[in-house]
This record gives sequence, C-alpha cells and structure tokens, in this order.
Amino acid sequence: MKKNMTIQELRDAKKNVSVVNEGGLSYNEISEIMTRGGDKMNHSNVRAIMLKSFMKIADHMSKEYGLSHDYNKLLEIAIKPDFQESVIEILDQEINKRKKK
Amino acid sequence: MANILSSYQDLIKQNPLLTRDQEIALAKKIKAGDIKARQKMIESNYRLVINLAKKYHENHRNLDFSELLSESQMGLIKAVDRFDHEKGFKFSTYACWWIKQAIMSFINDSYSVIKTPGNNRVILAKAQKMRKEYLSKFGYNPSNDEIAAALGISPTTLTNVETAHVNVISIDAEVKSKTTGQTQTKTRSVVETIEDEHVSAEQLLINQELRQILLDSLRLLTPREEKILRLRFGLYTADDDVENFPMTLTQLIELQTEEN
Repeated sequence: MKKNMTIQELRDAKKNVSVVNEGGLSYNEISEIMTRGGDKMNHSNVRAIMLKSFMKIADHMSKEYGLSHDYNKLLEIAIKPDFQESVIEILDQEINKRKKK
Repeated sequence: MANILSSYQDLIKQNPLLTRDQEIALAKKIKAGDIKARQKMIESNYRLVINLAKKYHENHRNLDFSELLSESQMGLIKAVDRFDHEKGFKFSTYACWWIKQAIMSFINDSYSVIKTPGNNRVILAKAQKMRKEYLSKFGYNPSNDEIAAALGISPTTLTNVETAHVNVISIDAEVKSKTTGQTQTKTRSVVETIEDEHVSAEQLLINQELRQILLDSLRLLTPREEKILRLRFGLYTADDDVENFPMTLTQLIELQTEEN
C-alpha cells in the first residue's frame, strides 16, 4: 500500500470505506464525508462550524459563570488547545456513556 | 559511652585475662556442659569485646555504642559455644572473627531500614569506590553497566543493591529551611514539606460543577456540529457506522491482512 494515498484512493482500495489517519481527520476529509452524506460543504465550512461549536460551548459556559464575553474573546477561548482538549475529553466520555446505555 | 564502660570495669577487674592452660581447661568444661565455665569464659573476654566495639564505633558514630556492645557480646557468646581447643588456636584469635562478624551484621542492619544480605554492602562499597576512581581517572561518571562488568555482577543486581541502600528518613524528621537574606531559620517536619496531591472536597465540587456545565454546553451542539467535532478529533468507531465514522488506517490494514 502506498504511504500517502488520498482518501479517494483508499476508499477505492477497500469497500468504499473512508480511511483516515490515527486520531482524527483533516478539514478536507471531513468536508468530503459530509458532502457525501448530503451536507455539501468545503474545508473552510468545516473549520468554521468547528470553531462555531467551540464558541457556542465557551459562550454557554461563561454565561453560567455570569460572564458576558464578546465575539473576539469567545474566539480566543475557542481556539485554545487546552479548552478544545477539555471539551473533547468530556465529549469522549459522554459518547462512551451513550454506547454503554 | 563512659557510663557504659564504667559498668564493665568491675567485671573486667574481677575476671583477669586467662592463660592458655586456663582457656583449654575452661573449653573442656564447656564441652562437657558446664554453664559456670561458659560464664567465666565469656566474662574473661569482655576486654576483647569492648576493644573491637570501640574500634568500630569510631567509624560509625551514628550507631548507639551500647547496642554495638551488646551485638559484640552476642558474637562472643557464639564464639564461646563454638570454640574447639583441639584445633590449637588461642580463643581470642577465634572469637575476634565472630565478634567482628556480629558487629558487621549489626552495622549492615542499622545502615538502612531495608534489610539486605551482608555481601550487598560490600558490593555497594566496591561500586562507590570504583565510581570515584573512574571519575578521577577518566573525568566522567561510569555507567551502571561498566561498573557491573568490572565487579563481575549483572547490572540488575547492581541497581537492586543501590536502590536498597537509599537513605531513608523519618517522616517526622525535622527539616530546616533558611529564608534568603535573613538569618531566620524555620523548622518543620518532612511531612509538612510533602505536597498533598489529593484534590480537596471544595475543588472536587468545583470540578463537578464545571463538568456539569460543560455537559450541558455539549447538549447545545447540533448533530452536524457534533459529527464534525467527532470526525476532527477521532471520536468515532468503525463498528457500526463506517460511512459516517470511517475506520483508521491501522484498522484498514488489519482488515486487509485478515482478508488476505
């Protein structure tokens, strides 16, 4: 197998299954999957949605603590790797809980 | 130390040194089971015990002299019980080794709270000496493998010996800390300097609250947003939904290998 195959090549190689690197997908790969699922978007849209999601979480959390941050502050929080890691960790645990149920 | 020694003075005065013939006569009686002869032999050799104990105490000042003396006496008693006059040696020559052995065993046991075989301390001493020589000769610290090879033991043994002889201190021992720029010296116990890694009840509650808020925030995400986050951060499985949550490269290789 070629080391740097495109996702298309990999999909063709095996039962029309998308193949990704360990740990997560690139924006392009995500956009491809989403488009294939009927939700047409490009890599930029994916990035925007992802950031918007983190900002939504940051906004809700700050409001819970009685804070009201503007767009720039929320964006600053949303792009912090520490914040993203914490959110993803909790999301991972939540997904595992759902699976057990 | 002076008090202890003075208590032995009377005993030493009452029991002068034995002549060779007296030693043999007592040894014969001891062999026959005479307890008084045994007692006499022990008391007559206290000088030897005190001399050896003093000599070792000079190099091991941290040890309690009275305990060292007691251990030396145990060595003497062992020597009295095992002495065989027919072999032609003087009793003091024979007893000397038993007393030294008892003292060394005591020193070894007192050196660390971790009990190790007697030869381990010898290995440690040799290794430490070799390290110093190596450093002065070649200008750098030798590796454990080099030292072990030179001593003819395995590196694991050397590591185990060195680990077993670490300095152990009491958790209540006092630690002095000097404040910079001041002459004031604070005294506190070791236990006070150890960080408490447990999360306090207050912090636990704060964390739980934060977690709950975060969980509530996650519920605000639309299925599309959650899907993108999961894909981006690899929170998917290939078990049930391969179309939306694809498999990893490793999993594909595994699958291919299985099929081939």
